[in-house]
Amino acid sequence: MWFKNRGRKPCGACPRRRPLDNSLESAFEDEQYKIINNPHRKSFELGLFNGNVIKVIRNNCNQRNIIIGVADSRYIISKDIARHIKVEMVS
Amino acid sequence: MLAKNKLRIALIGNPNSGKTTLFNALTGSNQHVGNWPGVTVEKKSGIMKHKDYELEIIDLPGIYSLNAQSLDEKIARNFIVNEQPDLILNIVDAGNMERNLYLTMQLLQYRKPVLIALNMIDLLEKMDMIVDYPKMETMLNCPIMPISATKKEGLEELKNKLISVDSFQEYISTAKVAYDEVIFASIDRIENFLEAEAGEDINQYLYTKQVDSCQIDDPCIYYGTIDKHYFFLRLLEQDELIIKNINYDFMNFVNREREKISKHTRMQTELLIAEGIYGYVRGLCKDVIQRKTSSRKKNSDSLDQVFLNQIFGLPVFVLIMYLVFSLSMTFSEPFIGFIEIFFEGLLVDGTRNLLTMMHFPEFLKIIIADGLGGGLMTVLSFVPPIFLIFLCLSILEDSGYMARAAFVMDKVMRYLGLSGKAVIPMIVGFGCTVPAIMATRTLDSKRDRVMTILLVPFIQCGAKIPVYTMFAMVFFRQYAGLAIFLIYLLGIFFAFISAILFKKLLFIGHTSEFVMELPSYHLPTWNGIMTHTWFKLKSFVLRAGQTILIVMIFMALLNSLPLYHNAKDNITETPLTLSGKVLTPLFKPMGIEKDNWHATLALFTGFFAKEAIIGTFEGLNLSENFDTHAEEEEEFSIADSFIEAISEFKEGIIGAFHKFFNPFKLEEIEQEEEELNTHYLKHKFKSVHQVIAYLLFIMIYAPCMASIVAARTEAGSRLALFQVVYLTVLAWIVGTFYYQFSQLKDGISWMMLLPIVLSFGLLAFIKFYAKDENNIMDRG
Ligand SMILES: Nc1nc2c(ncn2[C@@H]2O[C@H](COP(=O)(O)OP(=O)(O)OP(=O)(O)O)[C@@H](O)[C@H]2O)c(=O)[nH]1
Ligand SMILES: [Mg+2]
Repeated sequence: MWFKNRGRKPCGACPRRRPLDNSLESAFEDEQYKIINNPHRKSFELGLFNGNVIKVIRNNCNQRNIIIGVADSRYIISKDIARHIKVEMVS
Repeated sequence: MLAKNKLRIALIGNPNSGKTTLFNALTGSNQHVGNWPGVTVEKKSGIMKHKDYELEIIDLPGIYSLNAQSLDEKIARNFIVNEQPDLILNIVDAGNMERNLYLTMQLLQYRKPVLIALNMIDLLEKMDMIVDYPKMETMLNCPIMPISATKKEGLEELKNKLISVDSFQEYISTAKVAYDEVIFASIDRIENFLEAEAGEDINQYLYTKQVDSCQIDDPCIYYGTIDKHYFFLRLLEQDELIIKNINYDFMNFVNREREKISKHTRMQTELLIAEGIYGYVRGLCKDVIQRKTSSRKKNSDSLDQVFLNQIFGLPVFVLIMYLVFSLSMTFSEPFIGFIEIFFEGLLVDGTRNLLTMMHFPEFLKIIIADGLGGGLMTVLSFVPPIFLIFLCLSILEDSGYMARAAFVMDKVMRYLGLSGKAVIPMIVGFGCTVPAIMATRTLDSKRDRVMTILLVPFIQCGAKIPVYTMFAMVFFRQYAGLAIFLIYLLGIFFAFISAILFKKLLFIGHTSEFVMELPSYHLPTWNGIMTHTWFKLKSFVLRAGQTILIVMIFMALLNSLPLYHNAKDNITETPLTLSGKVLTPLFKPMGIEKDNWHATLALFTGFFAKEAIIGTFEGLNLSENFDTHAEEEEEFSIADSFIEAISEFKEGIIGAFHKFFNPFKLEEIEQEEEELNTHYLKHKFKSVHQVIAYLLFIMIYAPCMASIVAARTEAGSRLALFQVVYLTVLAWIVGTFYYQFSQLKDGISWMMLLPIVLSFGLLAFIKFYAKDENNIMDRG
């Protein structure tokens, strides 16, 4: 039934709920991050290579994608991918 | 001197880097340019003439790297690999050098001739950037030509450079990327292993298949066709074009090497190689680029605060789409009015008067004045709405909003089982279904592609506008624009319903993950938009105009061909009346009466091209006038009709503004009522409900031939057939259901059962198709 799964949906996406997870999926908006490990080849080749610094432009709990800035490019990346990218905040 | 025979130059570069803009500038073509990645989805070739030379230039879809994933990317990659162009003209977006040079470095290592065109240098100043071209040339060991394709700067120099060499072989770079040591060590070991195992003929050892059996649809890279070292490097990356059909023992050895590398560096081999290239490119960029400010995206980012806003994003998207239609519909009405009055005067009445003066016989007057003249007028009268729709779409496409739409609509699209990217083909579909179906090539999974192809026909294309305009003007004159807008909305509504059905029954599983670039916004230029719109409009109007006129004349003639005289009804049967009457009972439940067989025939011709629907109605009406016509000649003067048309237009424009701001307020229109009441369509369709049912059918039923062919090429015959059957049956169900429902006040008819029964049939049909289709999905 549709209501069974309600409320049980994991919101790993939400940075407010899981701030300790070091995946790009739970990164904060308007912060800069350094890529620690990105196993996803396409995004890697687009510039999300290990060691590069990126900026999280949009990351909302109720959206399935996040928007990030890498140098002069902006990308939409689905959270399914972002979940596997490990990042570290740049202070 | 360069050989004067046709050398081939392939344009390769990142998506949205300006390849097509450059292609158009070099060859004088008018291929589609737009500000989002993935505009070009097929190979296009053109000839560049410069001085005494003729070079063939090939425009290709954009790629970010040689590891192509989507269909369009594969087209570009396969072209480089298989067709072996004489020169690769690599377009690099100067404002985004790092990512663009990643591809460049892959290309240079092929050791094939490459020339770099550094595009968009007009933006460098705005970005406070200075590029040291000579240094870059030296570092890459490759000629670089700075250009601006839109501003046409540096193009002459580029053309001169292209013809100034003795041979393109001079443009083979020797630049070397410093990969991790383990990679080089691995390559050495692989090379030694191969030499020891293979003996003389390495390809014989490596491949079971014949070396020369490489086809464009089955591309492959053999040993010796590219640089040896790069071959091994790509092998380590598991390039699908190399490892296909490769010797099992050898591949095992390579895989063990890959494992060693991963163990040693804790990174996948292909990522380590990519990191190596980025390391090189970063160093290069640091050396050759001087920059003051950090980012060019400030304006774009602030606009995105609005367009991609969590709360307003979706409403803004809906508002934009609404504006596109309400602008197009409302403001085209006064123009249509002007054309109807002035050109009807000029082309129909004027020609008739002229022919009368020249003592032409009546039937020729009908053919020339009413037939050709009237036909031309019909064609002209649909130019305004189509022009405005194309104009709005061009502005959307050029502004950079299309990629944003993908983000904003992602949630809705996912609910339907698609990724947000699928919105782009759908928006393209408002112009024409064929390019929309082709645009699905940019989607990453076959599942998404096929589902989008199935849904695109629900988006009402430009060719249907003339049909809706004609019916709306006769039957819903006061609120024609609103009526057409409702049809568009209903189309989308049925797309939703179908998508949910398909998701549940056909395409079980999840949509693919996606990564997409958001290009910077830019203000569309007047020139760019107008050229873009003009060429689209021109080719559309020429094609549709021809179809309408030809179908019209063909129908008129065919309907004047008597077969036999039906003494009972005292009418002469023609092949058309007969076939129309045989088929019409099929549509009776939808409200199409026996004497309205014109409508049935129009549906059949509409199957070939939607605009043919109009041609059929007009042609049949014309042929019926052959016998009855004895209209009084009206007094005619060009000046009078022009003055009348202008005054009508003035009122129309004021009315349009009123309407645009008060879309739901209906205005009283008294004049023309009488004329509209005598319109021949009013004799055919007895009630508004019949018209609505008929329009509902047209809205949904099988797309035109061209788009069925496109669907077949993109997704196979089975899918194309499924689409035709599904859409036509659904259209019949919806039309019939509506009509029967509207007749409920006269009591329930057994015909009400038909759509209900057929709905179950349709569900069973989808289920039946799903059985095989799931296999196809797996293979994709
Ligand atoms: N400012 C500026 N914009 C340019 C230049 N060249 C192209 N553009 C713009 O860049 C956008 C993309 O141009 P296209 O020619 O469609 O790019 P493409 O490389 O063919 O893109 P795909 O077909 O999607 O791979 C368009 O909006 C162009 O107007 C240039 O020299 N300067
Ligand atoms: Mg292009």
